[in-house]
Amino acid sequence: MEQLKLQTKFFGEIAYTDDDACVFTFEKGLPGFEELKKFIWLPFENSLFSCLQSIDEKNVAFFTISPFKLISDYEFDIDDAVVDELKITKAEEVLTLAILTIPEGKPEKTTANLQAPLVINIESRLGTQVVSPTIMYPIKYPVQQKKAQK
Amino acid sequence: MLVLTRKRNESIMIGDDIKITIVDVKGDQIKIGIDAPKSVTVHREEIYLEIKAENKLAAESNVKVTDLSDLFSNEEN
Repeated sequence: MEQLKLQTKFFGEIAYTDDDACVFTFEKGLPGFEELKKFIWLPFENSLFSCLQSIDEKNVAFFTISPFKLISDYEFDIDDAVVDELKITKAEEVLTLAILTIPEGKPEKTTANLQAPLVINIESRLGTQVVSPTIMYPIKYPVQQKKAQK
Repeated sequence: MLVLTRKRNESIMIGDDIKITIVDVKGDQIKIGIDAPKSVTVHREEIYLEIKAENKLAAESNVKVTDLSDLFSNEEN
């Protein structure tokens, strides 16, 4: 596979190939970013956080976290339409991520979108953002509330 | 846009396998029943619009990841 170069929002220039394990295709894009289909998932070192960087558009990158780090018993149904779309055959293939919204200059006000998780099949490397009326978690779940409970 | 008038318990077919039924009408609230194959995603328009708006906001997030990790300093190590 040909080595490609990518300008990223947070990691400078990186090299990748199209068949890297962390290159995901969102065939429908994400709501609001329907035209962006290809993303690369990049973990931040020594951190729970990761970044979903658009391959098509340098300036579009989402901070992500596993929702299970916020709510250990987080759960939702993946409906058949999504199972078919992502070619999911077993639970172990599924990577679930929540997108973070970080208000400028106020990282303590960071929220996670637990209502519309990203679901990715790490085998087929297909992903989608699940929009379902059956997911009752908040769209703005305060990330810091866990700490406050201690 | 096609506009149809329906009474309570009457239905509309969309294609061969999607059926929309007016279940109940009370004032300005209408209860709608939807029969559709599982491969068809159905949701309220507001939910989709909210998520779209949240994604737009999220994409503007720009912070040093060390500042973010401070939020989790109790959990890490």
